[in-house]
Amino acid sequence: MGKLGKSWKKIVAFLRPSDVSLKMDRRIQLVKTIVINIISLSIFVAVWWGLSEMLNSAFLPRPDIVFEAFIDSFQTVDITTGRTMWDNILTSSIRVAWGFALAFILAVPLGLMMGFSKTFESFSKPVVEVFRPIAPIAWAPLLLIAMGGIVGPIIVIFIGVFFPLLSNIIFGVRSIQPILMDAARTLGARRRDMFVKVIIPSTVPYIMTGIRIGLGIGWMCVVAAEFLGAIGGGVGQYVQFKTEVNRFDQVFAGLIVFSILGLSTTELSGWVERRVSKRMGLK
Amino acid sequence: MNKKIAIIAIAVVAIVVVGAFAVTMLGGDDDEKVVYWTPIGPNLQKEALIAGQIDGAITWEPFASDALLSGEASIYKWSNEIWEDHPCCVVAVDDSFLASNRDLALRTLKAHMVATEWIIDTITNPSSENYSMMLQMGAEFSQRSIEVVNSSLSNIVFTYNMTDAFEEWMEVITQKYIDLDLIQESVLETRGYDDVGDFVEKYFDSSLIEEAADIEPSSTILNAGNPVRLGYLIGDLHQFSRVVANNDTIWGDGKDLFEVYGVATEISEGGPYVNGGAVMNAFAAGYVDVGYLGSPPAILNHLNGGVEVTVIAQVNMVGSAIFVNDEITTLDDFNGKVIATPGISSIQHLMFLDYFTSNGFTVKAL
Repeated sequence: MGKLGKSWKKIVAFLRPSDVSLKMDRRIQLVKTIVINIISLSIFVAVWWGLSEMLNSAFLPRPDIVFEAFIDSFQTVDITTGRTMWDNILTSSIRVAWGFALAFILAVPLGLMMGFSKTFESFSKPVVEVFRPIAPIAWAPLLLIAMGGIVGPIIVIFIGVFFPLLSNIIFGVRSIQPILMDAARTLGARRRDMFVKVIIPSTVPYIMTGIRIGLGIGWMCVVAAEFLGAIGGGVGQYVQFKTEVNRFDQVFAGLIVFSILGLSTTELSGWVERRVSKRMGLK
Repeated sequence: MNKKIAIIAIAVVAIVVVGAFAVTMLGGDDDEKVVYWTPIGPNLQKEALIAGQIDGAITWEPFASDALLSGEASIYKWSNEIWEDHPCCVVAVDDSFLASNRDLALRTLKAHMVATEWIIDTITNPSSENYSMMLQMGAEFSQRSIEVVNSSLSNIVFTYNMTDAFEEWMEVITQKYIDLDLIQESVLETRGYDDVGDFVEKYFDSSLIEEAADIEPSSTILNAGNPVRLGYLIGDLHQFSRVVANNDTIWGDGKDLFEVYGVATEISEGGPYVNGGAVMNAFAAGYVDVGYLGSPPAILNHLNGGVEVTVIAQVNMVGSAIFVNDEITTLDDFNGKVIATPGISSIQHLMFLDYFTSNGFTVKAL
């Protein structure tokens, strides 16, 4: 077997999942993951490039052209929006932050109460269940008209984040092991103590899961709101304007920005979720 | 430990909220002159001005005259004062339709030519019965008063020939788009053109006007059951020739002018459209055979989007304006103001961009 063949065998052996070993170096595992990710993305880019060349369509620009548009969008002020991509990212992020904050402030206490008190749940559930199935994006046209292009998008994001967060918190409260509750009662815990010292801490991992899911939905909502008429810039507005002038290289650049933003916030919240769960001894 | 986590979580949320609020309140550079724009359809611009949502708008007739004669706005500049004798709307035909239905395309063009000549003749005879009929047609089409239509038609120059001056303007507009990075120069080569001059020469094909000149009326409809799909803009009196050609009371026998030349027509799917970019999108979607639209979107979407059409005639020159509220009387008054445009791919938007950027303003989307 030639040198290439031996090298390939070594690469495959390195990448092949091996039996779980307590002594496996985490750094090697991380490197393996990164290498596999790079190979996967490279194949994706190659396929994209090939398709673009084959179709020769304005709607599928080549990856190198998109990359150039991506870099350029950060370095120059765009003539259609009067903003750089940094400005647009800041605007979209602020919207998501506001919507998320409002959802968090409302969903956490409401979810805890609904999970803890059957009476409160019976009172709140009908209203919640009426609104929950409605896709948050469906609210965008109405909210943009009723609340304007500044507040409207924030409310759309709020709706998108609120319901997954609420559902997870309620589920978290219901998932508390009964033996914990019994033990607390046996030790003399009153209702308030149960709530503060058992229920709230136990639901923290579920809150984190709800945040992670809600943020993903929040980014989708901000896209829709900015497409439909948000005021003040944003990545979605950039994509919409570039679609109108048929600059599809810039459209793709904007979509990649959305992907990075969504991915980074959900990954960050996922990391926080894992740390919190580990710290609390739940994983 | 649990308290710590709760405190940290609350602190994070508080920092996010306060940080977002602080950044939201941060202002820009005080020395920078900024004018904001927002896309609003011309038929809604006057109402938006009255409601205080905007401080002005750039638009096509009759909406400029409508705003002026309503007393709610004044004209800051007519488009002729910004770009002297600029061309505006054109007739474009789908390339595949042209290839397979050349005769129909020529007959449609002939109707446009005859209608344009009728308008030019009628405008010079304001005391004629045709003039009253023309005003009535314009009022019905644009949903505006006779007075508004009368004012509008005096601000528009109707023509169909694509002269040397027209082609020079098309080169200027294309170059402006390249300079503003709305079109990448490299895309010319991608579309098969050597340079801007070559693009204009090939894309704007005046040979069909010469061919159509000799076409005679037809006693039969040549495309019965398969009408030519016409795309055009909402209430746009620039494209009045289409309105006149589609009128069935002028040309005899209850026929419109297209039918006189043997062509059945219908409005295209999704029409009428809010701007020329929408017309080009409709071309791309296969909804339009022959379209009336601004020359800049015809350029922009053909080069950027590869929409396969050819421009075969001019429709009008000039006939747009910037109208404003009473807070704006000078150029400096535009600082911090919001101006509506019909959309980013319209000639009005390009004119707006060009005018304000060349006068030291930063243009930002609202």
